Formats: sequence, structure tokens, C-alpha cells
Amino acid sequence: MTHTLLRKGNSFKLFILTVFIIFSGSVKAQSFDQVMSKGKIRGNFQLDMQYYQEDTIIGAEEVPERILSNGFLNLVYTNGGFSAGFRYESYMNALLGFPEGYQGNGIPYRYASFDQKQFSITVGNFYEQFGNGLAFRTYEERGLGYDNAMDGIRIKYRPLKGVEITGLTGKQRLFFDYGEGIVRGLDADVYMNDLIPRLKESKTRILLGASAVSKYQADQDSRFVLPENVALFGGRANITRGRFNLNTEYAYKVNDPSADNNFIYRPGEALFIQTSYSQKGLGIVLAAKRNDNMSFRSDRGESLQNLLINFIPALTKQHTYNLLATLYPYATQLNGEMAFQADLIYKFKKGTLLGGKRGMDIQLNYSTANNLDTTRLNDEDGKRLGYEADYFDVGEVYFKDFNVMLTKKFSSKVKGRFTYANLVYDQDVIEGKPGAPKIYANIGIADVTYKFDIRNSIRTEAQFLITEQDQGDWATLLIEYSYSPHWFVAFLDQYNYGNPDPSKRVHYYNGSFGYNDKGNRITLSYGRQRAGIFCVGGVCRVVPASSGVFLSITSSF
Amino acid sequence: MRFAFTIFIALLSFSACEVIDDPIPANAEDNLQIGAISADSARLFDSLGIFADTDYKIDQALNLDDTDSLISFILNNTWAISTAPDNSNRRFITLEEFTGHECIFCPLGTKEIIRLDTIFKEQLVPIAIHAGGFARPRQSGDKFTTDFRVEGGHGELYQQEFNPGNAYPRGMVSRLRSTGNAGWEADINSIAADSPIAELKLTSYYSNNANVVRAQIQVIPLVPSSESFSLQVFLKEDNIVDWQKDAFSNPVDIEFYNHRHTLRKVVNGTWGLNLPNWQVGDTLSYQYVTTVDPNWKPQDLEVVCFIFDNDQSSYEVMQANAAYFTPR
Repeated sequence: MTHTLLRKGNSFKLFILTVFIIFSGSVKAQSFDQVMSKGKIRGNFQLDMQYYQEDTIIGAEEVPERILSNGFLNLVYTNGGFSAGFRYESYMNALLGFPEGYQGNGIPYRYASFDQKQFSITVGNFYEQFGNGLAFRTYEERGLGYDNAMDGIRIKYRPLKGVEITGLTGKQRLFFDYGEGIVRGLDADVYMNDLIPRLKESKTRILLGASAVSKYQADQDSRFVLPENVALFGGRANITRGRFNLNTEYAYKVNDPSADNNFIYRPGEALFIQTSYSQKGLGIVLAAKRNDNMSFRSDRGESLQNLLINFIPALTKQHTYNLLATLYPYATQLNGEMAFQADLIYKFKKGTLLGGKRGMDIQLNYSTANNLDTTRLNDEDGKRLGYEADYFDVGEVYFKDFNVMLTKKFSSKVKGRFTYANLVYDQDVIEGKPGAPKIYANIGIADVTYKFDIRNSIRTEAQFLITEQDQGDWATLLIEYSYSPHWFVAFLDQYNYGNPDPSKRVHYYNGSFGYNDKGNRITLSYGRQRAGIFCVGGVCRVVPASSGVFLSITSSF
Repeated sequence: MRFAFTIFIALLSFSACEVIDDPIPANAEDNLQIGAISADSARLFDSLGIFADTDYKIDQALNLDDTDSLISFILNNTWAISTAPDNSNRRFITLEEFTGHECIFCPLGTKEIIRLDTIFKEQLVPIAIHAGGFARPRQSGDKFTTDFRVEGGHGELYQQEFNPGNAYPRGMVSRLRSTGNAGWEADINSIAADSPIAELKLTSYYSNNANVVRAQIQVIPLVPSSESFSLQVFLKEDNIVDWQKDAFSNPVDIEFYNHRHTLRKVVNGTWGLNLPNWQVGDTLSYQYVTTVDPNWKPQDLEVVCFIFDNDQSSYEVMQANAAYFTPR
């Protein structure tokens, strides 16, 4: 593989020097040592390792390797406008639940870039996002095993003040290989207040943007005439005036038959609108999104999280508490959904009826995601447009979440955060379990911290999830003791006390302790991991049940 | 200059886009009908599967685009002839199973198929569709590198339609519903005694030297129907020995696993051929002439055909049959 730079025996230092010399014109005017003395190296390291035990009670399978691990080292060298770096990754073999394509060791990410006044050039791997990502977004989310990094060339060009044009071309990462398709993209950001002199002092700040992204993949299919070049176009605006902000983006994709959409030729489109108002003690965010047939991958046959070129944001709250975050989180439906979200954050001042002596924060959040209202066209042997969709009507409910969170400090020693959430969750669609009933759940969480003194504190979480569907009711209890700034120890038990099957009313206990020091953190834990779903931004990974000892080491320098 | 550069890049980007108005390729297969056959030739032609009242649907790769070429091709090759069982008074049943070589619970599905096969025998036509993430071949190493997925992405389309949740093992008994292996026997029993709506006569003509099989299919309606049906033709191969994961084996990775009833080729498109409206007394006659991969084992290959209700809310398989390439 071309990206396994170190496998080929080249030293990293030689690589940096070579690229540096190629890219840096200024090196001629200064002595080599002078230039090199300005260089800096930074990086970080992460190792997650688990020893697995078979646990038939929770369905944790025996792992033949017994020990699995994921390891990463990022190293970045910078010197003035020049930077180069790489990421070494090791999967011996990948932890359970991560895609099995992650196997072995290698350097799948390496790059060199140079930044001048008007140009920035990157060769090798890079991450990039156009606007909100409806047209293009490559990123890494390590917890998901998600990495769709580009490998190619990116040029950023700033011809005028307030104007930045980004052009890129390359292939996307697929585990330790590349996707089949070639991706080309062009994006422009125009800061109108910088570009137009009479807007310079205006209180209204306007950013306009436009994107065009195209992918190429050869047609080797005898059933259909497939478009080998598929393009997606987008436009966006971000307008701020005083306390108000409007962020909106629209994207349109021409016919893109793929495994995701059952090889239909219907164009895709997505609209995202978010408006917000904020002042001291108050924040309101309203957002709406409609996406229709907007899966866009550099390999039309791919599925899951692989080779996605764009990103459709999820308009649902990203919860952090265990039961809320991993039992029924929402995964964006790329083939079509209409979603709305409203957020309200308000601070009751000290001395008011609800604020009391120390004030109180309240966060209200409501989100809903529905299917589009579609009608099948039965045109499989004709134009294969698949279906028609009414633009403003919505179909069945996929997901609803109403939640409220109160944060209050009761005294100098005691503070608490209390959450209530009501969920509707369509397992059939979100998890792909045909015939599974829709889940209606109520969740209550109390998170209380007691601070003994400046170093010692204890935090407890009590969580309840009540539902008549799926696995029934759950309870979680967490006790965490911290000795600042270095040590912590915690015990967690999740109990599926309401499981309709008495033999599955199981305790998922877990004990952990950790040490923090500056940029280093070591955590060791032992216990059971419940099967669940881990999502970030509407992109999800199924986490299988496991049991054993888990070690995590992170370090940055 | 800057402006020109920007416009140039923009145009390049916009031009990299193709809008397809007609997605279905023209002449994906050659369609031929053989005219009147002289009395002199009738006996020979009949024995070799050359019929006057049959629509021949010929793989374009064979370049047999006129009747003379077709007849000459048949006469110049030798053919093993094998006839499928009679199903004029029984409803034959398909069992399409979604599986993958890295799916640790899929061998449970295979075991259930083997068990059901011994009970229902020829009435049951099992087909194992390797699709989804568990069927993906590894790019390196010495295990799980074989690609069992059928060419053309048909398996993924079936998966999308019938098993969108990627559950394994999952199967459909005559496409009544998608269910786990525990539900298959009940589903079979629910229709096993049904009277068939049509007879499916199937004869396989296989030429080892030409690597071609001809599937002669006659649809003989037995009851009138206002529904619209499609005819589907598959090739499948039994007894492929290769790697498979099995949750109940130690070690989990089995090197010499017997993969059963693997779907090898979707002969006439993902959703088959739309049949014309029929009446009792009609005989709809087709012959599919298609290539066979020389690496497949002829003794374990079968032609499978079935007719299904092509209403997308149904897809129910109403009749099925299967014939070995080589006589048993």
C-alpha cells in the first residue's frame, strides 16, 4: 500500500526534510541549522486494551485472542508555515465492536503542508469540511472507528481579503486501504464584510459559501447504466446580527444510484436551517433539517460508515449519561428524514424564587425526527426514480426526545444536576430490527457531587429508565471518588431489573480507577460492558457485550 | 487571471457530473425466437432443447445474436440434460437465507436448512445469499479472502429489500417474511400443502466444453390470477469448502467448512422477468442461455427458477423448481 510510508524503510526525518525543502522557498536564504532550530514537534498517544472473558450471562463471547488493542500515535512537526505529520495505528486485533477492516499496524495518515499568505497546500492525508458538511466532510472519530480521511492534494487560495477558495482531489481512506472512487471538490467562502467596503462596519456579519463536489467510479455493472461522475452542489449563508444568528445550507445531488438507495436515480437534496438568539442568561436555538436520498459515498456499493463523502448532522441532543447515551441514541437516516430541534437554556438569577441563593440553570431540549412522506413509483424497469416525496409533509416518527436538565448548587459543598427525558425510538428503522416495537421510555437522572474539601470529592449518579418495550426497565448507580488533581476511583452498576425474561435481569458492574498528570492519563477498569449503541453526531457503532479488564493510556506532549 | 482560474476550476467541477435518463441498459440480453422447425429437424431439435415456441434470452457475452448462430452453437456442443421434479400438483418453496463467512451464528442457519432439506426434500429449494458486512472478503491474509457475493451487487439489493437490519442468520420462506432460523419450519408448514397456481417445468442443458447452461422453463398456469408475476432464474452451487466462522466451534474459524447452496449467478436481473397476464391453458416458454464460471463444480451446480408476485408489498414466491446441471 502506498501509504505505509515507514514500512518502506524511509525514515520520518528524511521525509520531513525532503518535503520541507521542496515546499519552502525561504530555506535558501537561511542556513539549514537556523531554519531547523525553529521546528517544533508535538503529538499524542493513545492505547486502549482489553482482556476479554467469556460471560454467557450477558452474551459476551469468547475472544480467541483474549487480548485486543487499539493504539495510536500522532506526531506533528511544525516550522513556520510548514508542517508535516503522521499517525501510526495499531490494531492487534481491533477491540470488539470496531470494524474488522482495522487489522494490523501501519501509517494510514501522513501529510505535509505549507502555508503562505495566499496559498496553503497540503499533500497526503487531510481532513476538510465545507460549511456544515452537507456537501463534504472528512473527519476522524476514533471512538466510532470512523475515518474517511482524504489522501491527495488540497489547495487553499485566498485571492482577495475575505475570500477563500478550497480545491481538493484524492481518494478516501477505507481501513488500511482506499475506496474505489476519486473525489474532487471545490469550495468558496466569502466574508461579505471584508469584501465589500461599505459593509465593513456593518453590524450584520455575512458569510456566504458555495461548494461543488464530484466523485468518479467506473461503471462495471451490467444491470444499469450507472453515472460514473456524480456531482453534488451546495450553497450556504451564515448571518449574524447582534444576538441573532442564522446558519443555513442547501445541497443538491444529481442521480447517484447506490446500495444505500437501492440503485434508484432520484436526485438527492438536503436543507439545514439553524437560528439562535443569545443574551446573558438566555440562549435559544431552533433548527430544522430535511434530507432526501443524501447518502454520498466514494464507492456506491459501500454501506455502514464506510467512505461517506458528506455529513448529515443529527438534530438530536448528544446525551452523556450512560442509559440515555447508549441504549436508544438516534442514528441519522441518510435515505431521508425530516428533523426539528429546539433548545432553551436559561439561568435563574440568584435571589429569585427559583434561583434561590446560588441561582439555577435550566436546559430544555426537544427534538423529533420523522420519515419523509413518500409514495413509491413502481418504476424499477423505467427511470428508476423510486419514489415521490412531499416536501413539507412528514411520515412516521423515527425518534422523539424531550428532555429537561436542571443544574443547581445547593451549598459550597453540594451541587446537583437533574435530568428527565422522554423518548420515542423506532428500533425497526434506527437499528434495522424489522418488526421490533417502537420504544417509549422515561428516564430520570440525579447527578450529585459532594465536595469534602479542595482535593476530595464524591460524585454519585442514579439513573432510571422505564419502558415496557425491548429489555424493559434499567437502573444505574455510579459512585466516583476523586482526589484532585491526580486520582479517581469509581464503581458503576447497571441493572436490567425490568427485563421481561427473568434470566436476563443482570447486573453490569464495573469498577475503575485512574491517574491523571498533566497530559497523561491512565485508566484501569474491570467489569461488564452492556451491549449498546455508541453514537457521535448521528453516526453510530454497535458495541457488543463484553467482560474483562480494560486499560486505557493517553498521553500528549 | 485569478478570476479565470476560479472559473476554470468551477467549470471542471461542474462538468464532472452525468445525468442518466435511461438507467436500464438496452439489449442486456439478446432475445430470439426460432421460427418454424422442419419435420426433418424436429426430433433432433427437440432432444437438444431447440423449440419454436420459446423466447430465447441469451447472454450477450456469447455473441449469439441470430437464430442461425444459436442453432449452430447448440449443435456444435455437447449437452448434459437434467430435468427438474414435477410440481404440477405441489407448491415448491424457496428458502433464501442471508449469510456471510464471517458471521459467527450463520452456521446455525445452515444446520437448520440441512435439517429442513431432509424433511421437505425436493419441495424445498434453499439458496444461500452471501451479502452484507459479514460476507465481505478480507483484502489480505490467508483466511476469509474468498468473495462469495454474487456478481452485480444483486445480493446486496436483496439484503437491502429483505434484510435491511443486517440480521443473521435471516431467511425468507417463499418471501413470506424475513425471519430467523427458528421461524422457517413454521413458515414452510404454513404453505407446504397449498395447491400451486402454476406448474414450473424446468430442464437444464449444460455444456461443459462451452461453459454454458441453457435453462428451458415452461410456466403452465393452473388457476386464473389477476396478480402480476415475475420469473426469476438463479444458478447456485453446493458444497463449497472454505473458511467460515462459527460461534460454537473451537476455534471459531473453521478452515474446511462446507458452504451449502451458495447463490452464484442471478441470470435475469435482480427482479427477474415480468410475465404477461396469463390464462389457464397458456404455456409461457423461455430458455435462458447463460455462461458458467469454469471454476464452479458442475456436479454441484443447479439452475433455480421461481415465479413471484411482483407487487412490492408482496414479493411472495408462488412456485419454484431446481434442476442439477448433471443428471442424478
